Amino acid sequence: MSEPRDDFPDVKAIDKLIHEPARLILMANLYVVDSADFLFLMNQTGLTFGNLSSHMSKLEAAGFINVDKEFVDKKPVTRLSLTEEGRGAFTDYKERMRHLFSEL
Amino acid sequence: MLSDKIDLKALERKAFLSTHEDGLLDMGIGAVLAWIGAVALAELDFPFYLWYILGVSIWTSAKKQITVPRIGYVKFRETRKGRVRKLIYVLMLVLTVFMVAGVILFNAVDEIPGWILVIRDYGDILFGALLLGGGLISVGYTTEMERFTRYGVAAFTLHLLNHFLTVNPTWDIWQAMAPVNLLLGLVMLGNGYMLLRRFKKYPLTGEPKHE
Repeated sequence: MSEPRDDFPDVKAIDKLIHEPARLILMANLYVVDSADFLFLMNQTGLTFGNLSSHMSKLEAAGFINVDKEFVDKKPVTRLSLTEEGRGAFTDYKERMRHLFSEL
Repeated sequence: MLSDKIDLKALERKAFLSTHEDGLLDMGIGAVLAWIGAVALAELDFPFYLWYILGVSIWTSAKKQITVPRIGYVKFRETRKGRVRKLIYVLMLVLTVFMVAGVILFNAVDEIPGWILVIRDYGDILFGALLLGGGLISVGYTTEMERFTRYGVAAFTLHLLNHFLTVNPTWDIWQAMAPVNLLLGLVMLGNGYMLLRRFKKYPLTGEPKHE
């Protein structure tokens, strides 16, 4: 795949993991709360179980989100929250996008 | 739902409001108001702080049984929690001031200047229009739940009108406020029930099993 030319350094610096639309929506939803469970995020994002699960795994592997699995009243509950690194990465992403479009 | 613009404030507001789409808060406050009105009209003596305790425990349990299994659980950030906490402190402070003032005005009649006693004649405006109406408007403003602002405006207007149109001038302050409290309580209960019925569109699925 071809890469953007060097006169667009901000474009190259955009975190592709966050830039994917479904993950961006998921990160944004987690950014505005302290933590949320799987069901809440499915309702808020409109993502299916499979989709959300797959994106959750990728973000967890990158260290952007914490995933805590527990049982409440014998029912499985998965709580997600942004890590410090994830919060920082999202803030950085926001700033880069803002900067990028203000320059265009 | 994916969209081409992300407004983080709107996203947080949507998340917060979704947890109160269930109408349980409307039903809880409405039930307490209707009960206070009915008890005063029937001239029964029932300490309404018991309803407060009962109301909070029923509300907490209903949230757990009805809301969380349908839309999930969310914990908000300190800014949102701080705003709600501040509102509770302010309402508690104002309520305490009104209660203390009420106790002094209605019990220590001989020891206070006569001009202050005039306030007693406007007790329904102070408690009904200002405290209840103002309180509901503050809840609506702070939480951005517009229907509470509308309840507040209705409480303010109806209590003000009721003061000048009181059916029986020999009624005490609670009885004078009772028709409005009963009416407003029933309206809130009804609206809460409609919201709850609509809220049940969310299937009671709980969290799917992970592999």
